[in-house]
Amino acid sequence: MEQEIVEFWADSRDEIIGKCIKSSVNDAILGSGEGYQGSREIVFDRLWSALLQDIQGDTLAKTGEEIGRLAREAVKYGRDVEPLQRIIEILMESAEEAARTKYREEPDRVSRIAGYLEKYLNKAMMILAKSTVKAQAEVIRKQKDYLLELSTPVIPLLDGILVLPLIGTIDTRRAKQIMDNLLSGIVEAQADTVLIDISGVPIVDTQVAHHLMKTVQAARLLGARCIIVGIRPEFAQTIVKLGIDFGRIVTKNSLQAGLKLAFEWHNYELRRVGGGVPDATTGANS
Amino acid sequence: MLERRSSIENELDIIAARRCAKEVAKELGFSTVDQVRIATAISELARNIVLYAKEGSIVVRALCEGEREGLEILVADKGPGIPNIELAMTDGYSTAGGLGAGLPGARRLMDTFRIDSQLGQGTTIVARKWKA
Amino acid sequence: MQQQVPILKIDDFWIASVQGSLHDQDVIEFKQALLSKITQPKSNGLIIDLTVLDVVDSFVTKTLIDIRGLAKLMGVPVVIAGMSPAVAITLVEMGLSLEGIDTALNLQKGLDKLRNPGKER
Repeated sequence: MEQEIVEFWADSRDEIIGKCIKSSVNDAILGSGEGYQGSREIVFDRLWSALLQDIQGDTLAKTGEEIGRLAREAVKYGRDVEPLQRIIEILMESAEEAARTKYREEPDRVSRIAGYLEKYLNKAMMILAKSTVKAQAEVIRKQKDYLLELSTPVIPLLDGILVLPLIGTIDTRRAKQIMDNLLSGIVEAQADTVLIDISGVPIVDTQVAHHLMKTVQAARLLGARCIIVGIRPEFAQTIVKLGIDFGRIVTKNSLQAGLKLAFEWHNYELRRVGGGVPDATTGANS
Repeated sequence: MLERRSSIENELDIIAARRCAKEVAKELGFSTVDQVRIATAISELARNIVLYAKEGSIVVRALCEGEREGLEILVADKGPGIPNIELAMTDGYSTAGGLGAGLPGARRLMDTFRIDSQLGQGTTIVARKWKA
Repeated sequence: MQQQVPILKIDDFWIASVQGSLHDQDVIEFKQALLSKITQPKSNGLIIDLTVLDVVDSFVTKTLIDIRGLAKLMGVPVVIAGMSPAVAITLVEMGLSLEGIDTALNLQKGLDKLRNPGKER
């Protein structure tokens, strides 16, 4: 029995693929090559050889890989995965047809092979569904990472001074990202001082306060001092009420006040040279 | 599935065990920080074996649960066991003159941490870390 | 295991650059070697450079705290330099924030700190 299907599949490559190509799949379904890498023949051929190996080993590993690849590609290019379903159906239908022609005299054999094909069709569909969900989840995860990265810029302000403006809600995942970004930013810029501006964080609860403290402590271990600025009255009250020890952490109410302190630490002096602000409307400033 | 076993008999095995764990973590695609977290946890667990049980073993292996991938640490020794696990897991508690940060620290570095100990029988620890 | 951690002197400052993973015995010997150095006259500071150390566990941390405590008794300031972000995050998560120990991003900044004390706050 096992041997039957292996034999049939191995011997009937040209018949099966020939029928597939002639079938109702058109280039529109296959996305006219773009993304699916070349002609329909290649797509069917790869699936056929994957299945050949799998039938021999009675697994679905290779086919799964192949279908997974197609699904990832479809998701990546934002295409419908329905055509993929059709491709698998056509492969199996064509195979059944080929078996019918080949073993015209042995209806029992044909129905056994058809049974096998049906089993593989069902399994392949399951794999397709799973791969699609997985590929979509992967895309969403990547986009999330990308957004996270965008949302925590570390800005080199002056030699040795970094600014980390935090905007939006901070959850555990984002807090970790912030810490990672800041610490590598410190090492990269060899910065001694970091201004962390939390005025853009809508809710600062115990959890956020805890993450902030950990970030400040880790930065200190590297050799950088942090100044937390933009602390609003509500947050100050939260800290006092919850009895969180912000003891050794330097805080200032505004970014300006923090900058002034950082300048002091670095022996910078901010001084206006000459008269007032030039009139912007006249354009040239020389 | 990736799996490595280190036997722990003396302090020289501690570094070998954590190097091995770091390699496994790297191969599984853990971030640099996670590799260091895992290696440090192994260091603490292996040192506990050397200090209290004299000998034992640490197995590090790949973990797969549905879509999630991770790493599992299995620690086993036939030492005297821990009389009071809750106390041993408390920050700052040490019977060997250390910082008392070993077990509680290792727990914080991992995602899940289960410890079983029988007096006179030994101690087993199962700790897991999932890929972010 | 002296060769594991060379201890050099620049001006009046001792510099110990840890070269790789240390066994517990090495750590203990390292501590003894450092203490014997800083008891020498003209020892005005000590920098321990951890740049290449990839794992710092509670045992090494305890040793660093001990060294700092003993050095303080002798009036010698200690700066830990070059800790990597991954090690820093791991230590903080373990609850070992080395409170009170001076740190620097690299050897140069460590030396600057020792040369200009008082600027610290």
